[in-house]
Amino acid sequence: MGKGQYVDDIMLPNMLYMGVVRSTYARAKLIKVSGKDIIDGNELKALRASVGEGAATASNLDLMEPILARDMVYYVGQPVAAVFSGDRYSAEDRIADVEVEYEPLKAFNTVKAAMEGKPIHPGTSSNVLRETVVGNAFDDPKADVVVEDELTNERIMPNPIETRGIIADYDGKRLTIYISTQSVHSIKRGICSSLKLNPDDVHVIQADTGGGFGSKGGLYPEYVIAAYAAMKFKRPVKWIETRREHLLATNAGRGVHGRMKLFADRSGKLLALRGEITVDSGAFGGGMAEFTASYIAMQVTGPYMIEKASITARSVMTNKPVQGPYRGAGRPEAAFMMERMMDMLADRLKIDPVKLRLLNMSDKPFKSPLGLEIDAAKPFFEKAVQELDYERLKGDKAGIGFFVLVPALAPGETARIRINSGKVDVWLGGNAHGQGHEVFVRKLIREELGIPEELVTLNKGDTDMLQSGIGSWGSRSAIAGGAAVVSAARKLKKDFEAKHGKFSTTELLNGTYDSFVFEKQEGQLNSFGANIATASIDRYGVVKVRECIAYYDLGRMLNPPMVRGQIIGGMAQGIGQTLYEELVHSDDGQLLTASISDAGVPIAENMPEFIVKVAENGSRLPHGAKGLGEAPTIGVPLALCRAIELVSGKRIRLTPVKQEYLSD
Amino acid sequence: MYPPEFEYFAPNSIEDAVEALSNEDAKVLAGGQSLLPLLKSRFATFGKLVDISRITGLDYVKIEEESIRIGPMATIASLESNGDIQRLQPLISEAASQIADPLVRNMGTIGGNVSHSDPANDMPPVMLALNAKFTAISKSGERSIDAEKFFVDSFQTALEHGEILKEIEVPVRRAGQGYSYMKLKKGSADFSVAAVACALDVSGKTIKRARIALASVSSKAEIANDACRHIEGKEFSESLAEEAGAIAAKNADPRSDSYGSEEYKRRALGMLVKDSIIKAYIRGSGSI
Repeated sequence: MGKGQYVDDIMLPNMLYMGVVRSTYARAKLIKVSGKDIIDGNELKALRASVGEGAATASNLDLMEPILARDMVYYVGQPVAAVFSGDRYSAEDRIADVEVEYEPLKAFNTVKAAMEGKPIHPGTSSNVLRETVVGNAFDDPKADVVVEDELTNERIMPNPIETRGIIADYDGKRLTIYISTQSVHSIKRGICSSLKLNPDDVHVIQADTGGGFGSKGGLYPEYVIAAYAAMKFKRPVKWIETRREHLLATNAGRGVHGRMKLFADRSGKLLALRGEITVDSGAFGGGMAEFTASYIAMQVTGPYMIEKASITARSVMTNKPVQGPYRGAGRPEAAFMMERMMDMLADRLKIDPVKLRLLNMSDKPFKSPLGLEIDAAKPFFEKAVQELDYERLKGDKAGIGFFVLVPALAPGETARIRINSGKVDVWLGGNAHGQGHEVFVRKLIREELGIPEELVTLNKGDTDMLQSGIGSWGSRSAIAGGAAVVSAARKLKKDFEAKHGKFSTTELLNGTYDSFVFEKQEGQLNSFGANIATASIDRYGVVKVRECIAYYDLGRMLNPPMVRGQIIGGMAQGIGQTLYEELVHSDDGQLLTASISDAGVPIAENMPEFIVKVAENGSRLPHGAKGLGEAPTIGVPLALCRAIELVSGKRIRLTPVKQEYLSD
Repeated sequence: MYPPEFEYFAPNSIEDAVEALSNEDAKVLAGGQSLLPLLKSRFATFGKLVDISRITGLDYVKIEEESIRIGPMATIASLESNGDIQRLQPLISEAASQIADPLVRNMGTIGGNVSHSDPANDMPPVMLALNAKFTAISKSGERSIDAEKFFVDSFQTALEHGEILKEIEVPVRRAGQGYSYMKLKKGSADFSVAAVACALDVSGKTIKRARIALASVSSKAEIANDACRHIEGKEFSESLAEEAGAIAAKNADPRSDSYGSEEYKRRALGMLVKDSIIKAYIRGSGSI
């Protein structure tokens, strides 16, 4: 306790602080940048590498974000130049000393405006970055009922308590990076790719990391500038993001619009689903935004058996920061689209929403035309209706939401276990940023090797200590990471037995062993979850969440207190998205919610008492786990939006649900 | 989030503070809950901060027969929990309890809250509703300023350069006086969509005198004069309260922003004024 060391706690001798001069326009020609001892885009001509969660090669390399703007700026907050100083006060003074001349151009801040308007990038014919059709082709079926609606999840920022931060240090040969991250290996790949460095010359070490929620999985321009500056000045360079910078320029999550059309017969049996998913990619290609729309489309059918489904998945560029993952990263959006339509259909047919849902579930595994693979859904959700006390809460206008969690199991994960002098050190390819991975690591090693938990240490991410790794995101650590720990432990045991015969924990601890595995994973390992919520609304439109209950299948729970904590935190974030959180831009692209007070992060005062219930239905993995992390941010908005819809009598199509919309 | 360089001076007496404030670019620092974020975000710069927190004896609450005298450095938290204030002028403690969060209330002061004159601050409408008197001190002596003259515009008070707010005087709650402070917030945001401070003198069923003051719906805190006049001398009814709300909503000048549209703010203000009058009336008619 009290020994935490975050990036900002690390002090290296002779260190420089970096300040970033950012665009004040959403779209403008960059005429001139002048200042003393600055680094600008004419000096550092590099592109932001796409690494980490949802990394995708850009469909057009000209659309990759430059590390520093050159010729044009495309969003408010885009890095234009960097300044350096021996202390952070004067570093900020120097930001103000840099003169930037712009010639403002028309900006497009909504997907609608961008689709109708001229291309924001010169040399392109449209702002549509990518468009694909997912699913099977079919003619509209003869249906008794067709419901159609437009649905939106506005952009929100991940807002971990600790913002982003980095120290880059260069000794003339090797670059050492200390960073707050979900994946040291992604950062290493990104730095090497953007600056064209030899991987042997870059060492990335994770500092204690105070939350990420998706925002710290990939590479950002500031990291590359700091690395470049450290090599240029031959001094350590520190950059710590301010909250305002976080709100302005970190990858934003959500920002998804859907148009859904559901065909059903009179009994409620679903016949087909047609739709469009449009993602606000922000100003550049590459990265998550290119892949989010089709990822959402793939999972839209959720736990339901729909034989015909076709979704047009589209990413559209706007003059905003690049879109990125936020806890759920496409999963909450997909479930939102489907569950809002199921409630609409239930209302149209005047049948109970739960009855409608169960009617469309199978007793057998099902693969949707969109590519989603699920186990038999009906038995789990029939149980969920009991566990969530639906019959009782129905009278209180409870909203219910059912979903499938699609964790990022593939391509697997790495783990290393080293035994030396009676101590066990472990490294994982996915880096913990507050989830408490050490708890499941100790438990699994005790179970596999009989080693007392107090002898086991899970170390922070370090690219010199672990040769490769993926990352901690997409509800994957307990499953992919846990499976890698089990595999590394079994490999150790096998090595021991090959050498010494019968296995003995004591003798193992007396020896020196080292085991590294990349435990490969393929296919999907999806699980089911359900939430229920009740709410009241006053005349002013202020929503009070009354009851909020979760029931998730976790396969096998590795640590109940951590599970509970993670679900409660996620449910609070689910309420945040539903009621409060939003990035609001003015018509000319200025961010109006540029302080933590305006960003809508939920506070304890507004939270109900949460109830957490868990099913343990096992999984095909050796340790039986299923994914968890993103379940509550998927489930809570579904249930809460429906509860609000029932209490207010107003159709809910958008998060955050505005007080204004609900007021008398 | 790092302020530009400034000179820092923490005098031990109000005389020294006043002297230091003669510097053109000087600004008084009280609890720092508004000024420091402004400096850190570089929305404002001052060459010199005169920190008056080291001056002893500026955080008092003195109870007199008909009035309460409050030192400018009394913290919001101390006013929230002060038994005399709760008993003798509960509009202040009711408003204090609704300001931001406990951390801000522990550091923020009543003097800072009113002198900052943020149109969304909570104490300015309370001071207007109570007809507070402010005493300002400068090198040339002291003067008294009525609340209605004190709040000039957004972030602008009647305090002149070189003047410090030395004392706030509010009347003790009269028999038959009902009060209420109501504030509509948007989720977890610090500032209000609209807020209403209301003090009514009630006799039998009649509202003898009304002071209704508003925050967040104009460029400064202000009295809703027409709404007050509409209910004064009349017998209370819910419809009367509703009419007053409609008048206040019509006269207000809210702006659309991320807290809500102009239309919503007007509507919310109308409801708040109505609810405040009802609450204050019930409290007034129940008191002796």
